[in-house]
Amino acid sequence: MNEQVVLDVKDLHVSLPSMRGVVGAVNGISMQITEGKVLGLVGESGCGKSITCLSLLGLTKEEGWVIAGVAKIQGKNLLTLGPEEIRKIRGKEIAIIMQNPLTAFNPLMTIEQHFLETIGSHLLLSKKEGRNLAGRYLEYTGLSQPSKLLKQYPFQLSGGMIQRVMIAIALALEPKVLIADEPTTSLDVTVQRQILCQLARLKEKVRTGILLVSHDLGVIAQMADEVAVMYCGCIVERAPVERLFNQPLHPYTKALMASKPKMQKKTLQAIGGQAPSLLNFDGGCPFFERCHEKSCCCSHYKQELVQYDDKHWVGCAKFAVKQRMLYYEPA
Amino acid sequence: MSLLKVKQISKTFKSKNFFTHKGRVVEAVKDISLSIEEGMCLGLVGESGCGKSTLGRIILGLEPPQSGQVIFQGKDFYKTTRQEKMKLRKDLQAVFQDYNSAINPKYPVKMAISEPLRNYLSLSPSEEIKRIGELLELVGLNPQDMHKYAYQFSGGQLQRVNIARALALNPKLIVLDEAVSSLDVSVQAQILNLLAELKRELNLSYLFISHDIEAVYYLADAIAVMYQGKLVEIINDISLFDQLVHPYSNKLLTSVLPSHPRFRTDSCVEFDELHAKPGNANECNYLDRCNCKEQLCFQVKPVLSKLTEGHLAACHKLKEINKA
Repeated sequence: MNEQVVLDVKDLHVSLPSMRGVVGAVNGISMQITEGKVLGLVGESGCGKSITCLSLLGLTKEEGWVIAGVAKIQGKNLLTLGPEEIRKIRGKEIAIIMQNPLTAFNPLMTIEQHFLETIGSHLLLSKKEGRNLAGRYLEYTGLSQPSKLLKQYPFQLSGGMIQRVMIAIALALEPKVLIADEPTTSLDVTVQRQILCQLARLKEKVRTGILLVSHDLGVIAQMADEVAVMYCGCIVERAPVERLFNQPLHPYTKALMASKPKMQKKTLQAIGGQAPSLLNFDGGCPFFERCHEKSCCCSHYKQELVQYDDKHWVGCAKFAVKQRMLYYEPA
Repeated sequence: MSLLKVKQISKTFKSKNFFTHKGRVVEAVKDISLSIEEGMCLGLVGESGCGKSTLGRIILGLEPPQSGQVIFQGKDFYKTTRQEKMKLRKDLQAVFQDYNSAINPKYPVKMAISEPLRNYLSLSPSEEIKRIGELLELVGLNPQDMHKYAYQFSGGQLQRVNIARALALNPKLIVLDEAVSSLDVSVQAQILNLLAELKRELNLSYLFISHDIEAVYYLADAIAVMYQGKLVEIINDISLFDQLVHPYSNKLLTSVLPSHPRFRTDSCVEFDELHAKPGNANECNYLDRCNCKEQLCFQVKPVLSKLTEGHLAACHKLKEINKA
């Protein structure tokens, strides 16, 4: 296998202090992003997807936040770098596409200034070279007349166009890892399809590893090579995409798939109840209360991913090692 | 007789530059006619900015149209007296997308639900509380929740409260303006199930406005596709859904993401997006993005015409197919 792991996250924890206790936003997730592949991260809102993304980029350094774990990119641990060091990596090695394209841009700067700011802080280029580079990448994303576009302001562009510009800026420095945090959620269905196409095309060109965060299983089915299902700050299942859709193991994954309308009139199987509060998370099974397949041993189960087979990992008591279950079972 | 009949309504908005007083005219809704039968759900799909919500607001009586009629229960809504309007409004309710801003955060939710009750019925306080409890139970909440405030609910629960309020006066028609769009997948399924169930039990009619074709397919009995303020296709029977033929409807259908990686399509869709531009009055609206245009499309604007029984579309190409 010549698959090169470009970003290796191990046991990432993010906890935020609050008035009533510690909120465990991310509770020990591990993932690997390989070069030229897309890892889809899927989960409901509030399950910690975005916090994961932001903490990987070092954008969550607020007072009191505790970020633990290891996130290695080219041998460097992103989580322990100082602000100046991470600034050098951010944009060049690891870039991000935000959910809301319009608020991610400065309304007072033209598209060209946005490009030059990003490019200029990493490469020593003249303005003209920078402009050429920007134009080239804008063309890659399928935008016509890049020279005209560069002189425009963000508000003059439509949602789909500005999202393309964001992708172009993010990929202009050919980062090893691209984090796409719900890149199409705020867009129309027709535009969404086009953006996803462009993203797939550019991925082939630049050979970036993409972490694609979404709550839409359709986006994941279309784009991802491997999927990690996230629930309450934990990854509950991880598998190659075909495998996950053919044979979901975790009850949450199954429920999530059943609850999506799929061009049929059958009654949807909604997940009853709602996600538990992450306040003072104790490490037990977070899906316990909503689960249809729970058994007596579930309440003693400590959430962890176990290997089901070669590439399929699942965090459910049913698949945990038998002996360990016996050990936890009350006498 | 149909419950609601919309006859050739149009609405334009004018924007005016503060300094130059020069304005741009946006035709949000143009010459739209449709009807909703009792117990039926009409799904209205289209991109953002195509006038879906404006049409919903016109039907709700919130936005008077420039021309045309909205006939609800046999009465022209915008031409009747104030008292008549009051009566009609009772049977006409709405659930909006933004569940948070639809409920006053300063009062417990029972105040929100009791407001329509107080406007139309004179219930004693104890009857009112009882009715609110019933309504909350109907939408799957605990009657005790009526004392809670909006911030104490999750998004799905709050949308249920909104639905409870819409149901308070036993309406005939509910306009669901992107009512499930901002909810999570699992919660969205709960709300869609609830809406389908309520429709069956209470014989409600819905106008379900959404950009999510899969959700529309699940709930609707008939479907209307809207583009730039005009209806481009209507099918009265959702089981004929796969017969949508207008190029724009097709585009919407191909944009639906696969439910399984096995159905992945790698064919890349070329970039095209709606450009607001002063169009030529005589050419087809969809001309810029259409991939099967012909000479006729530049000269004559296609009108909505019948293809088969209960299937209308506005495209020159399709009429020929039908003739042949």
